[in-house]
Amino acid sequence: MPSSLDLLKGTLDLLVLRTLRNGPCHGYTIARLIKERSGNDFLVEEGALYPALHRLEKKGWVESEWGISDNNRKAKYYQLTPLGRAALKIQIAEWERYTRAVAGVLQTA
Amino acid sequence: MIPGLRRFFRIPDARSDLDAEIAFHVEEHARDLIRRGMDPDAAMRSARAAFGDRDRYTAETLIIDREHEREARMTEWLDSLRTDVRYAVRGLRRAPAFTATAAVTLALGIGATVAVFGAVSGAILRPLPFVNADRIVHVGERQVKEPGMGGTTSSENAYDWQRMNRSFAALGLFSTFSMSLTGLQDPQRVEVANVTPGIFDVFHVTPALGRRILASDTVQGAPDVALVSWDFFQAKFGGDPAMVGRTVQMNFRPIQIIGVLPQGFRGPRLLDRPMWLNFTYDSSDGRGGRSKDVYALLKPGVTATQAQRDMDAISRELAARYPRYNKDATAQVDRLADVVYGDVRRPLLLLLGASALVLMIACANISNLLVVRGIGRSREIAVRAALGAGRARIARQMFVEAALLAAIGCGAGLALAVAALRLITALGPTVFALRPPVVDTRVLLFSVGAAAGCALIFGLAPAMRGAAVDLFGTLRSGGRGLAGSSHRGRSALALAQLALALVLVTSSALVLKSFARVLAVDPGVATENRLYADIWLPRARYDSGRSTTFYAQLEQRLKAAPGVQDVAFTSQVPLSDYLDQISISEFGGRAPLSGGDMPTGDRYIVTPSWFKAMHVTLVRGRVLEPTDNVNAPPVAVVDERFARAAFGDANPIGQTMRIPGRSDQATIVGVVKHVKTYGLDAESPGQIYIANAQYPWRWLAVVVHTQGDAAHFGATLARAVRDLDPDQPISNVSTMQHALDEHLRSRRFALTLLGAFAVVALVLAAVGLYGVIAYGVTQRRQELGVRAALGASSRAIAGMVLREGMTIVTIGALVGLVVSLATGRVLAALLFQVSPSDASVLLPAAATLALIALVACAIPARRAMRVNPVEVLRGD
Repeated sequence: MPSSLDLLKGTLDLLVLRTLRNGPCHGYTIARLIKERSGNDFLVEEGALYPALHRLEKKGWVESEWGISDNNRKAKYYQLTPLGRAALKIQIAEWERYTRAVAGVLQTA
Repeated sequence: MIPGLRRFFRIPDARSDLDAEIAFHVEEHARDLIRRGMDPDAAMRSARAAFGDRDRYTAETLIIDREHEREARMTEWLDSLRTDVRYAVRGLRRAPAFTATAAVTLALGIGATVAVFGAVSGAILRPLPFVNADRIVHVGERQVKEPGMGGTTSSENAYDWQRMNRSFAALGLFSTFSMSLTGLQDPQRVEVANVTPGIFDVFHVTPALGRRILASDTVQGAPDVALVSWDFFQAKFGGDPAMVGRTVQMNFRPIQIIGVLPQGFRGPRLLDRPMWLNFTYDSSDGRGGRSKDVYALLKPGVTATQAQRDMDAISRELAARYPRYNKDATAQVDRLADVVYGDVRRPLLLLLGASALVLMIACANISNLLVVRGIGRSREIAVRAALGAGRARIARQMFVEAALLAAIGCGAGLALAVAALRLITALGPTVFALRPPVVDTRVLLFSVGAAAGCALIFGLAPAMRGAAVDLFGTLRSGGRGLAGSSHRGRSALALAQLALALVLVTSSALVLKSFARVLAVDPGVATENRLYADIWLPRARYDSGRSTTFYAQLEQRLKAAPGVQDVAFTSQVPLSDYLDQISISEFGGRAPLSGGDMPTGDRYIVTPSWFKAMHVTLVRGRVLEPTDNVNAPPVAVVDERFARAAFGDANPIGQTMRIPGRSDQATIVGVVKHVKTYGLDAESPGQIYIANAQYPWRWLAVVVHTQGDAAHFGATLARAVRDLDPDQPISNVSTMQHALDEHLRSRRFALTLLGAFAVVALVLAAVGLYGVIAYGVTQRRQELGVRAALGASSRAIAGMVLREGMTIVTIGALVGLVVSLATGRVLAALLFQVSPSDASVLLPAAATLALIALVACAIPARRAMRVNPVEVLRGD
């Protein structure tokens, strides 16, 4: 996959949070949604999701709970906490500022 | 982590959780792929590949999980701690009597130990403030047959020691006296010392300014030079360095200031001598005048014992060479610390021991209190356990409560220690002023550790036992299930407390009796309404004729002042730390005596009014009269003790003896009562009184007997002296009562402290006993109720309770008496004419203890009498 993009540090957290905004899901769903929405453009192993999820949980931005999946299996579901929701808002704003700034430089150069 | 512990702490297993989560992820991915038509094996492979390095991600995630767990546990712990503290505060507030007693007990135990230890270690256990302090010794002369510390010596002997010894790296002479400093402000008496260069080496002193005293300053006829102390330099010369090199008038002679001693440096005995003068050798001094202290620095590796052997050999040689003055004399090597602290050390160490006893009693008491309370709460604990509180949880709650109690007690104890230290410094022997107390961190940790340790151990014990106890049994029996087993242990604690308390009570009673005995000693002079002051006339202005005139004029002026009964002059004042003794070698009609055979007496050169002014009682013959003047034959009056030492049973009246410094014989005309020159509890050899008119002396003190309080007379005295000679200073103005009080200071201090300890110990022991008995009554309410129901009279029931208490008291008192008798000897330093086994002290002390213990038992006994059988039998 030479055309894939390396993920910038910390970006995965943002993507995970954004994915969870629409409601609780388990790890695989999160991975799938990120892949689909990015058009398969990110070079990221699915396993990297788990340290990120657990880190967010430790920060108190997401919480997890064991539940039953569509096919009746035990699965761990993650969902945003109010704190996570607030953090997401800030992170999105920062990301937009960042990309605007980079884009501005690139266009004038 | 060990599985058992994990289960105990109910920590979920993060590893298996994560494994399940990842397995689900991979399988879910594979399921998706199969749904899209992939072969199951290929789908699984592909899903695994997409996941990446599973081990790595698992490991990374687990690290995060573990941190998370730890943080969560910490938060939870802090939360429950807060709950426990709130619970503990509530618990302590619900039992204010218990809390107050326990806290006060802790505070007293810690306060006493820390304060006394702080004072004692600050004053006498710390090394002296000199470089190589442990190598500095005092070398002094004493009679072979009179053991004790070495005193002063003659400069001739000291110089011989310096030449002959092989033990000392340095040796110096130090002799103290005082001089009149004039020409600056008001004339002033200054305490000065004559020193040789060796002193600077012994004490490692480098002047802050100027130079030290050199060997060339000590040769006969060398001009007078002086170093001043730092404080004196600041106070008198404003710290002006230009003063170094100038001259000042001392005793109306010019003395050049050559240097300033370093800041904070105190003389050999820690007393600030504002001026150090050069000692100049005087070949006419001879070996008879013993006025020099000798300090020496042991060579590295040489012990004091080795130095003593060296000095023994030298003493023998000098005794053989100069038998007239050195016969029977030996040079004693004493460690500087022993010389400086002298007799204050033993009483202070005793007080230290007493404070340790108080701490032990406090520890026993706190243990007892907490055990009693803990057992009383076994029902509460059982209820909490029944409601689902874990074992560890209950233990921790008990621990927190005990810790809170310990913290309160320790805090109060330290506050008490600080206050007590201030009091000790103010009341204690003067050494405390020179060596301020320090709070020793080791002592602090030890006493706080001991007391708090007791609180924690015994606070926790019931929880430990409570957790193990049969829950239903305790609940069913109404919380009375635990009485028997530990009751004996608590009785033993109470017994030990009583025994220790009795040791303190007997000790302080013995010391109190000693104090009374000391106070009952007749000093031989009247001490009320007597003022004294030194008026030492300098040789440069007063020859013997002029000095006699001056004193006579002053006497007339003072006598004319209102409120004055009598005025007298004397070369030394009793109880005021003068030391002027002479030994008589030649008696009329007898062969000359030498060495220790010569009878010794305090030399009092007085004016005739002395005997009346000081109420010195005549026994036979007559006292000195105004007619005993320079034209009359020389006479002397002696006291009974000297008379016995010199003449045995023979009548001293009419005997003659030669007073040193005179060539003719003086006739003894009278015998008076003995005077306690060195204090009520100190020995004095006896007194020899001679008339100032016949032995002109320029260093006299005036004694004034006033009608009212003598302390107010100081100003009048100063005015009278100034009117006669404006350049003449007076010094050491004081009253006889004050001098006497100062002598009693150490005893009074020891008594106050010991008495306070004894009272504290008694109260604590009583509280401890009360706790045990009262608890026993509470535990046995049912039994007592049954007995009452079966017809036992309330008297019989009270008697039963009292008997139990008095058994403990009797055994405790017996043990205490035995310990008192066994340890009585260590009290010797504080006792005076009282035997440590004095039954008239020990038995009343034991009776006092028993009486107080009886009161402590009577309260619970009364409660036992009031137990209502109906109420008890119906249940709680």
